Amino acid sequence: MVDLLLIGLGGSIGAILRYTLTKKIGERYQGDWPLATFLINIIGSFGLGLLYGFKLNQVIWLLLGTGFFGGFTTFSTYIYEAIFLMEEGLFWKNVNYLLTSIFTGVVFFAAGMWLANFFKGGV
Amino acid sequence: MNYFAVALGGFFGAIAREITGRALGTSIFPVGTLAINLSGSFLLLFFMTLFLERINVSDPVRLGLTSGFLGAYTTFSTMTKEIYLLLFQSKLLIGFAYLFLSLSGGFLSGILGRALALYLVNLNFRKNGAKDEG
Repeated sequence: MVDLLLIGLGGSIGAILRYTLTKKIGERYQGDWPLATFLINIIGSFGLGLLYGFKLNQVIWLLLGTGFFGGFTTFSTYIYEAIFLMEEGLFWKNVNYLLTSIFTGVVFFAAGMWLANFFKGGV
Repeated sequence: MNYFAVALGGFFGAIAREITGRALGTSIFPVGTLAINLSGSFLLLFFMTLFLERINVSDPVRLGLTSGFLGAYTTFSTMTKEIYLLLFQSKLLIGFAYLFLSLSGGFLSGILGRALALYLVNLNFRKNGAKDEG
């Protein structure tokens, strides 16, 4: 029960931050590329990698890992944007968006993890 | 009010993700995250299409359900973590199968959700249209 509350708390903060960032970036950037969600998913993957690498306690993992970064990043909006790119006739931009997000996300998760390991080993 | 709705939706979305993930259990293949992301994509495209087709709901309800609940229910970072770990453990085939199924499955689920919403809107439109003529 406490586990679920921690996850919910992290998820609500992550969702608010994602909503706010998407609005702010949308006000400044008007291009085709879904920049806000792209950046959110990449930063979130990096953050989860850091957290995973540091291997802190279970409470922090549930609150920040499963809750915050899980709720901050989003898969459904990513698919939504890809489908609308395709409907606007931008088929290759849609494929590009889908693949670039996932590959960059995996690389940034790894970078976060390695950075955490570097700090743990170095200090 | 909008911020509160997104927070409330995010709270329950993240919890729903955890409960669904636990219910589906753990195996070598990340079935939980895949099922969550596919079902969430279906639902988001379904509801967004209904809202875009002028099914009027208030902003807090719309944002709470889409940006809040479904945004937090589905997750990108857990997926990239799972892909990385599979590839790193040399489970290349499973890793790439998971990546491929997430993308193609998510895309198809979204299209299906959108198609169902358009079908229902169209059905309703025809029904009302017939009523007007009669």
